[in-house]
Amino acid sequence: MNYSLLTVEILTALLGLGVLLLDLWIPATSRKLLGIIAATGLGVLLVYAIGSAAPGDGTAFGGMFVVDALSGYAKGFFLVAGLIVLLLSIDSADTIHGYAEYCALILFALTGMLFAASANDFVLMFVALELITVTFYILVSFQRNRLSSLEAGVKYLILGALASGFMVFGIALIFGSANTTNFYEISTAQTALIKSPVFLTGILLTLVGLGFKIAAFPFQIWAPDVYQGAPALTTSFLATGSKAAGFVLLARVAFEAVPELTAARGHLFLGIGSITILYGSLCAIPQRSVKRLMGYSSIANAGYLLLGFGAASLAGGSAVLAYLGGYIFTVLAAFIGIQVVVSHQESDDISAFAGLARRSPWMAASLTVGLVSLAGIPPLAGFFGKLMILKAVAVQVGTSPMVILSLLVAVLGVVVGLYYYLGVLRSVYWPRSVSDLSPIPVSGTTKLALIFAVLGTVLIGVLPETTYQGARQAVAGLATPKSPATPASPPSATTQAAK
Amino acid sequence: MPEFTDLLFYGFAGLALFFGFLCVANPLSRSPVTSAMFLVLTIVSLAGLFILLHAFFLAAIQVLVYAGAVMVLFLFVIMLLDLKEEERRRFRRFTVGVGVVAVGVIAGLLLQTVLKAVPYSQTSTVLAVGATRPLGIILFTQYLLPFELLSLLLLVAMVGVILLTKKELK
Amino acid sequence: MELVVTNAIASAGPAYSSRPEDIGWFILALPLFASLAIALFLHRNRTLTLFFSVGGVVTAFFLSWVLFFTFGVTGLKAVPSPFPWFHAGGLHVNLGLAVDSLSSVMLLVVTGVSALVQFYSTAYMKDDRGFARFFASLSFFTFSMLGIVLSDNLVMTFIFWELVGFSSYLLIGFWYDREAAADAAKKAFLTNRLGDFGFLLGIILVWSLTGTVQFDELAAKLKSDPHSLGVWSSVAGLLIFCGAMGKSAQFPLHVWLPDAMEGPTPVSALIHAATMVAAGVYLLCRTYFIFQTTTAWPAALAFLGSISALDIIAVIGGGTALLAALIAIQQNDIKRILAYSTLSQLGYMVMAVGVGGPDAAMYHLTTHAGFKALLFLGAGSVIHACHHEQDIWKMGGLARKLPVTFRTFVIGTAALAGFPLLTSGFYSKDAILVAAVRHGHPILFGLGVLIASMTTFYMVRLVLVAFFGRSRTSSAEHAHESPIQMTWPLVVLAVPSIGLAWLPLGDYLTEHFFGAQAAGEAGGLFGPFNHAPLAATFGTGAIIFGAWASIATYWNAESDPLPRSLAFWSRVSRNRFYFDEIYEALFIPIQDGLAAVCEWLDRWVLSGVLVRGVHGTTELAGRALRMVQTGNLQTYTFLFVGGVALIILIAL
Repeated sequence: MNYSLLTVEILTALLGLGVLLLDLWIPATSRKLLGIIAATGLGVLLVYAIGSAAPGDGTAFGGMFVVDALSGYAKGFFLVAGLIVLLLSIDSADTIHGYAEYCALILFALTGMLFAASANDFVLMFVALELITVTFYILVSFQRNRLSSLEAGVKYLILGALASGFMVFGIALIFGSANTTNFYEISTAQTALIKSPVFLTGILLTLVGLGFKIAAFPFQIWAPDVYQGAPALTTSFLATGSKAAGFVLLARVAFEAVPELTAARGHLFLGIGSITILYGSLCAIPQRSVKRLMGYSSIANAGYLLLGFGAASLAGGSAVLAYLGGYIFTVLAAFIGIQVVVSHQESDDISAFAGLARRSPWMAASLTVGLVSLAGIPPLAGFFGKLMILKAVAVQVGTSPMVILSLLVAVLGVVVGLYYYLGVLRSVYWPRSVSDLSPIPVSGTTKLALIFAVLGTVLIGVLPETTYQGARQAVAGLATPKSPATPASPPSATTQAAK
Repeated sequence: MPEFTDLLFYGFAGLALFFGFLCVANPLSRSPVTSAMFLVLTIVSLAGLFILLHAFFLAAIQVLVYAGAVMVLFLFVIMLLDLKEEERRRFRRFTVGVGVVAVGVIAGLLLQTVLKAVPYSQTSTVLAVGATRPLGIILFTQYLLPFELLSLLLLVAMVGVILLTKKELK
Repeated sequence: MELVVTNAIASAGPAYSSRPEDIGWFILALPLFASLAIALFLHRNRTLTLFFSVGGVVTAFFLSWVLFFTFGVTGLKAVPSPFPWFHAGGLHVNLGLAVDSLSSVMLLVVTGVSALVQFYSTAYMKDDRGFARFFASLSFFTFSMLGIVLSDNLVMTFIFWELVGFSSYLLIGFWYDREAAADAAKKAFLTNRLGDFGFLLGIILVWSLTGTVQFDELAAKLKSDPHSLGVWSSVAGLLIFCGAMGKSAQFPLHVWLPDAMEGPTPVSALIHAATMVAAGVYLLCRTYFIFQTTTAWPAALAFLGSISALDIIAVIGGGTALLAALIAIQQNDIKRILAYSTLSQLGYMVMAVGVGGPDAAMYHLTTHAGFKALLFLGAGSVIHACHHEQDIWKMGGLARKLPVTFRTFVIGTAALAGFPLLTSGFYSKDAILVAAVRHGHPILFGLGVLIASMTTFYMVRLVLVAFFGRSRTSSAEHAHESPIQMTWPLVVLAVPSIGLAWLPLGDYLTEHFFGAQAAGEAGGLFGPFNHAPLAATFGTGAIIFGAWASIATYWNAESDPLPRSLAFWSRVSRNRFYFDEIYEALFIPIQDGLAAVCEWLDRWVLSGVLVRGVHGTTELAGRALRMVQTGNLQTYTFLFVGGVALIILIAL
């Protein structure tokens, strides 16, 4: 078996362990060093992952773990997200109790995401998702001296466990009816399988678990509370990495395992997407807490991404992935501004952002790029993603009124979204009253993170070709067979057991 | 004509449901300790189901680890926390109603699904004999990767527990 | 051979050497470069800021002339030099520039007015602490606007479209410490966005149905298969028009424009004269071929029958023109009069497109850009001289104190009113009236004549009250002519207000849209009276009537010491009396009534329902939905499980 396919995953996990161990030798006064080591390590890994993306696809562990265009595409973005969050965390090294553990947990969650990107089997998918979710239970309640952080952690834990319960039950039903959990093997038998109600229920319950991760209606209920309660750093990773992992897995299930089902039930995605957009957009309006606002914004964006699944086409799938790539940079750009303000003001009320433009032009610029991109204003990444998704949906305009309805909802959502994003920007640039205009110092590492995030947001928007091409290849690659072709793969367990 | 194993299945399944219900909503006692004891019974019933599936190892683990070790931990926690509040708290009719409705609807839908399903005529009756050896072989061949990943998951859980409960982090 | 060159460029990136059409990239890049340089490096250095900002746009202006003479005048079709941008579903979208006679004229307009506005601003904004920020925003705005002009596909147009919206947000809200300015900026942005979403849906619709967004390819496709848009052809046209409605402030999305006067006056001149508001009309002209396809409606809109998208556009344009003219008559703020006048003229242009005269619309757009910029900069000069007084009734007698401003302002007024034979406004307005007659829209023709008359009325009123009579306040008493940087742009702008009349610009534009054989008939100074005497005569009559009514009403609205006026007063006193009667009996109630209705519509229905309504209803819904979000974990769990049940129920 070709273990080198797992190099990035193994090294990320080892990096996490290394950081945990290094904490023993590094004096408490220079904790920042841990973050710098972790970030540097991840940077090297990122360069390696991008550099080695080409050398061909393959499967490992009997077709359970797969390296293809989608996994390569997704891993790049996950690594970038992890890198930016780690860079951003360095400033808080002295205020976070247990900084080494924080870094290590980020790296472990990242490991989970990397495995999720390569999961080609419901079992590995479940374990990878659990690794992400369990890590986030801890990351969310990390500020245990803050009641809201703990409360958010408990809510996430209980609802997450519920979702996992449904998911594992769904996987059991899938296994029961399909006799396999491998995506590829399921896809070869899907025409017969999707007629079985047991299999259908299994897939639906699996989607419940994924719906929880991506905060789609009606499983979105946790997102605002958890986004608001969790430390801003955690929220930024939760809103990008964790959510993106859910979507990548959804793409795998929808476009690799059961594409026929996706095509047949596209309207379900359109409907859920539309409701999700409405819910997120409308609830966001009265918010004063920017973190909570980002929670609703995250729900609304999940809705847009679901519309892309509703298109059930190559264009729809690639639009989803392209959107996702831009979305990660966009949200991180916004969260860099939020994180700095929150850690400086100890409040995330809109009024805490008053006059940010004069206090820290760097942070104001980052926040502006993020929010403007989220609002879907060209030429930033958010616009391009929305354009491609709407385009993919609009192609089917003649087929059903649902298509027109979801297009209208999408447009309405953008108008409303603009309203509340501008509300924050207004406070940043045109504050009604400012009590404090002292400059907010910004460290070099934060600036570096900011440059990554803003550059990504702008470049994906202005020159979308590379991203879009990657996304297209990723979705197109899902259609190609991924049987465990390597003869060295272990013999089937059933035959072994029968002996 | 149901076979004897079928009868056993319904017996254990019914018991598991019954004890499970008493665990979360015992009308006679609100003591957490009673709940914990019913949880033990639920787990034992589940172990019975595992035996019917020829998963002897899992059945044993179920009893040893869950009914044994995990429950002891639970009881320690219950005693240390001195949960008198919970005893005094009354049922709220609304909560119970809502819960029953939610569970009922889900159960109904799943039941409907099962009834609609064509009975699966499984020719290979035994997928894997649940003894230790075949289980170990499966775990270390086909499911090696998720199994190893679980170790990382456990590490994360351990780190998290220590972090969140340590008295004061300096 | 040509193909080889294009391929070489596509693969090797920019190769600017031998192709004159690539000058377009320079024109586009110069203001962007200036803006970035100022924002990032030069904001502390005023001289360098000015050098980059003004230098950039002036160079762009001269380069635009090169393009105009290479492609515009000769009618040569520029070979697009596309940079591959992205591929979607087998479709290649390229970044390319549309350099043709339409865009080269528009380039001249935009860069010319921009350059003058920037010169003017060097004096006007001299003491502002946001000096560098102002010029950076101004350059960025110019860049975005040039992008709209030069885009050769709908997606690129939309991107610059939004950038214009965003940079106008920065400019209108420039004085951010003023609450009203921040509100106006937000209102402008949101209202524009409402229209933009229609536009975006239109683009997506056209893209999905025809598979291309490139103007040339689209036009060719629609020409070879006029039914390729199917039942959606009219809807697609109207959706694209939605974008124009926002930017060109057409009813009911016009509400943002008067409020946008909160920005600095040079910004008003730039936004309201040559650029942002003209973008909508330009877009309609650019995409005119979409409107020429057969009229068809989807089943739900089948009741519209044979009413075409253009008919609807014409009615909306005409309605906006009338409404704005009515409101303008009742305004006292000098900038607001001009703002409503702009609205009215934009309605005129949109109406021209609607009646099938995009050439007339572009003609009027070009001439209007010149004299409206002149009027706004003149108003800025007046406001500057009167210490930021904007109420015309608190001015008076400025004619002799601000001689240069006065003379140029009168020229601008004459051009806006359409003074026959001498001014450019006459010819372009005449072209619109001719188009209305020719294409069988007698009612809209009548409306056009009426509006022309009203335009003259309120502009003459403005001149009379502000420049003639007695100085009514001390600030008007002590007014001095503005510095040379502010007056000479006025003089420069006065030249095209008259001079454009002698250039065959109308023919040039007609040729672009309808081919060489259609052009040429309107030529000559007396052309309008020769080839379409009806329109020209009615137009002239309207102007005379409007001017007479205004003079009769406002001349000596206050006692004027000049004996010449006294003599005039005695001569027309009877007439005035007569007119006062009519005015009081007829005009005032009707005008007051209509103006009140319009005002009410404007304030409550439009800003209320459309702008605040979006806000209000969504806020209400937001609060209602938030009741679900109680924070209670049990509730959450129940909702979650309920959701699972719901999904299974629906999906199975």
